[in-house]
Amino acid sequence: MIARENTRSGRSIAIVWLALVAGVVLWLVVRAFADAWRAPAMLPQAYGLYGWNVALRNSLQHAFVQSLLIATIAALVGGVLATSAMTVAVRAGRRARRLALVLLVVPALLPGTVVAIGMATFATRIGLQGSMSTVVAVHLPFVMAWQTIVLLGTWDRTLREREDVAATLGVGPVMRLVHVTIPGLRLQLVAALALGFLVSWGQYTTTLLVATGADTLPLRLVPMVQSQPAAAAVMTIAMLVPALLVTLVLRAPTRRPS
Amino acid sequence: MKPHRTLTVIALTASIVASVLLVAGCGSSQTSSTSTGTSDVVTSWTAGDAPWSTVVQSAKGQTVNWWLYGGDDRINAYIDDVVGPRAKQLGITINRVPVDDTATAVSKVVVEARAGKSSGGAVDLIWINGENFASGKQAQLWLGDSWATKLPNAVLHVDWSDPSINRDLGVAVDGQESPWSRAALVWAYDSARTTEPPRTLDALLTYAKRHPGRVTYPAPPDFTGSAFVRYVVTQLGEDRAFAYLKELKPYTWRQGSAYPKSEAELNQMFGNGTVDFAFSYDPSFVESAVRSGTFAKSARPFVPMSGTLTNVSYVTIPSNAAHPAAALVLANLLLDSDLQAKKADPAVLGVPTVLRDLATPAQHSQYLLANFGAPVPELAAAKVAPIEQRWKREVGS
Amino acid sequence: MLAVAAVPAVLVAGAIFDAARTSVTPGISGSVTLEAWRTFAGDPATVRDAGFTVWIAVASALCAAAGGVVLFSALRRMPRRVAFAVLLIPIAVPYVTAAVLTMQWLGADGLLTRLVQHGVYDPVGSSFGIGIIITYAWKEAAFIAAILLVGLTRDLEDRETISRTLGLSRSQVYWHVTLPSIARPLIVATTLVAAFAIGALEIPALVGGISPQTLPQTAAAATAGDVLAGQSVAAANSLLTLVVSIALTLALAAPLLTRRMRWSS
Repeated sequence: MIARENTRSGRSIAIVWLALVAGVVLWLVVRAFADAWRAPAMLPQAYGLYGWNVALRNSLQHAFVQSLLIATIAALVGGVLATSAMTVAVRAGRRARRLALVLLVVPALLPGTVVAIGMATFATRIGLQGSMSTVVAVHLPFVMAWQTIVLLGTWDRTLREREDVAATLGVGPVMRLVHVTIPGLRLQLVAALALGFLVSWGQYTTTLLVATGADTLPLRLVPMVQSQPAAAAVMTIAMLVPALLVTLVLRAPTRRPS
Repeated sequence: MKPHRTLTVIALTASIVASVLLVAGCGSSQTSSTSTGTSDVVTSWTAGDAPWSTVVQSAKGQTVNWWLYGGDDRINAYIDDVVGPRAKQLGITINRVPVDDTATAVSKVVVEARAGKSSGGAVDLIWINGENFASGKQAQLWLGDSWATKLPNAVLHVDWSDPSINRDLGVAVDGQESPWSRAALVWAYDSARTTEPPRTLDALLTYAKRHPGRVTYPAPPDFTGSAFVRYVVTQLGEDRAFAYLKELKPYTWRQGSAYPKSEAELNQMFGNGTVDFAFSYDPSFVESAVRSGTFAKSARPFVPMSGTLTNVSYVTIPSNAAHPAAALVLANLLLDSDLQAKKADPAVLGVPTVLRDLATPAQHSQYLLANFGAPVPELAAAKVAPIEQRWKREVGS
Repeated sequence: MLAVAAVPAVLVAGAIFDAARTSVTPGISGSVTLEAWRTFAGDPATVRDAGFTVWIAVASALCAAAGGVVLFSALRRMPRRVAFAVLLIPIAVPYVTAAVLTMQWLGADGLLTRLVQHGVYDPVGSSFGIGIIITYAWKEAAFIAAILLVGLTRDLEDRETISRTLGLSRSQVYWHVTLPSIARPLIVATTLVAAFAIGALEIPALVGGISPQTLPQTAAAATAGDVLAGQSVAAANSLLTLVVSIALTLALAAPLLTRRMRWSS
């Protein structure tokens, strides 16, 4: 009885939710093609491509590509580093493991403002030359924190045993990583990469305050929201599409045993 | 090779490549860490030891990283479609770096200076004026040697004796920035809702009392909101101005408990009919807003009877710019009479020129004013921040 | 391994050190002064804004937690694929986009205003941060529900069934069996939400008001004013935000840290 009622309410929520999502998408599309839509009119006063022209003239493509590159690089670099750290962490002593996890996960709790304001100078000091590399550097701690959270608890005993067997047979650490660890974790790794991408893709606070002039979609979008709402709708769609595509590779985790 | 191993190898390879890219700082078209060697040419030219042609020659093939406010689509179009091709003819590429606030560009230069980066900076040129210029000048961030007064087009066309040009919000320019554009604080009303807009501060107060909640302005330190407060200060003096703003407050939108955060928000509220007036330091903002559909076609510009705030905006070159020669050539190009005439054309930008010998074309649009009335000079740059803070304490909270 | 794990820590530590340095060395000269701290501490709005930031973080986190528990309860018996498909969409939506969507639905010229035409409360720009709280609540409720679902184990259902069999009512089962089981991941997830809300700018920048403002808003405003002194004030502001964030995180996670509560996993 409980199960049936819960399934019914869950189904209702899913239907309402999907209706809301469809409504949002419809609203965004209409807004993107509305040349004039002053409140309180229900329908636009004029339709056209003005918003698209403004968005494209404001180098939407360039911002899109920059955001894509930054998010991809941050996710890949973070993924490699987080996986490497976790590979050893699962075997380390309790203290070392805790220390490593604290170092990796704590950035998720830190305010983006302090990291960004300090990174503006620190990045130049450590020789990071490009605006893109500085932005990746300021995103990286947050990306890795979330990737670590995803990877935590994914090493099960079977995988560890296989890694130990490979080590006993003389397989070096890099080859173990390539042929044993990564294949054994590919779903979780894909999830970590996807989440890392999403974390970097949506970053605004850190990218703004690190003040490198980097051209990313969130930075373009915010000033446009009220000054050019149609163009902002176009940019919102541009921000949503890759994010939603990336979620397609994320799968529901299997239910944990007792 | 089994599929999952192939994927693994690809992923690892991609990670290594990504790491190399990260460290090398590649993929960014906006910075160059290497000195271009043109600073010697620039120094020689400013010292009068080398002709302008050496600067032009040295600039060929360079890209100018021009950081400027990117929220005005028409300015972006003017730079991309009008200035860009002319720059290409001189062998220069413009990389327009849009920022939401000029302070971001100045912050970047400050950060580089703090980190000891005295050359190869990320910023070559900034569209700037007022407080931002004054801060940079105080910190000696800008290229010196009065380069702006020595530009060939400046010598021909710019009246450096004009106090609106040789002083930027009260701060002596000293040739560290080159004039580019003029601006005036212009208001908008909707002729379908308001027959006669208030053209004095007293009339505005009376209007607000008769129509409570229909008047507001963006909260300082927003650029436009700050300009409105400064305008009131120039008309009434500081103490009387704040008394006026406090008297106005209960009759403003939401009884003064909230203010729009930006000019864009005010424009939307005006376009939606929530309030009856908007204003901007962009003299062509009514035309832009009508074109973007934000304002109804019945919107019209106006200025107060006693005149309105005016200012000149400039371009400046950081002393650590990576491409100073190209930046100089671009700054000179911006003063070209053809380009300035196009900028003043209502069909392009409708912004008044800074050149002394260029007649402003007749305004043939009902959304552009032909006459801004008597120019009201801006307050000194040093007064801006204290006034904004006083507003926050006495009116905004 | 520690070297690898130290990469983000080095970046963060270096950034915090440079922020601290910037806060006491305004301008370019490098001379040390506490002027920025005096300006920041002397501003009467600082305490008010810090309090407002904590209010936003706590209210947002608690609303998101409540929403997350409701979603978790409703979705837990659905096929996992379906439940996560529903939850992943708001999780994937970037915060900036979430704020834009809140404005589009609830703002002065949003969907609700156009539908109802008059008398609609506009939470955008609210001096209580209602717009900010609403945005975090709907977006983060999905995240919290997903965390709870991930932590869900089979034996919880068994214990619930046994408890009902033994005569406990549904609400008793919920309060004494279900909630204690999910308390730990709920506290962790809620703390993460609060910690993020303290230091984030995108949502307050779009749907927040002008007074009071969150500390990140005032930090960003400081950098837009007097650039030289403003960067130092912004750095001082961000360090205060860090302290507030640490204090709030410890306060919210106190039940876990003190190990007063015991939960079955």
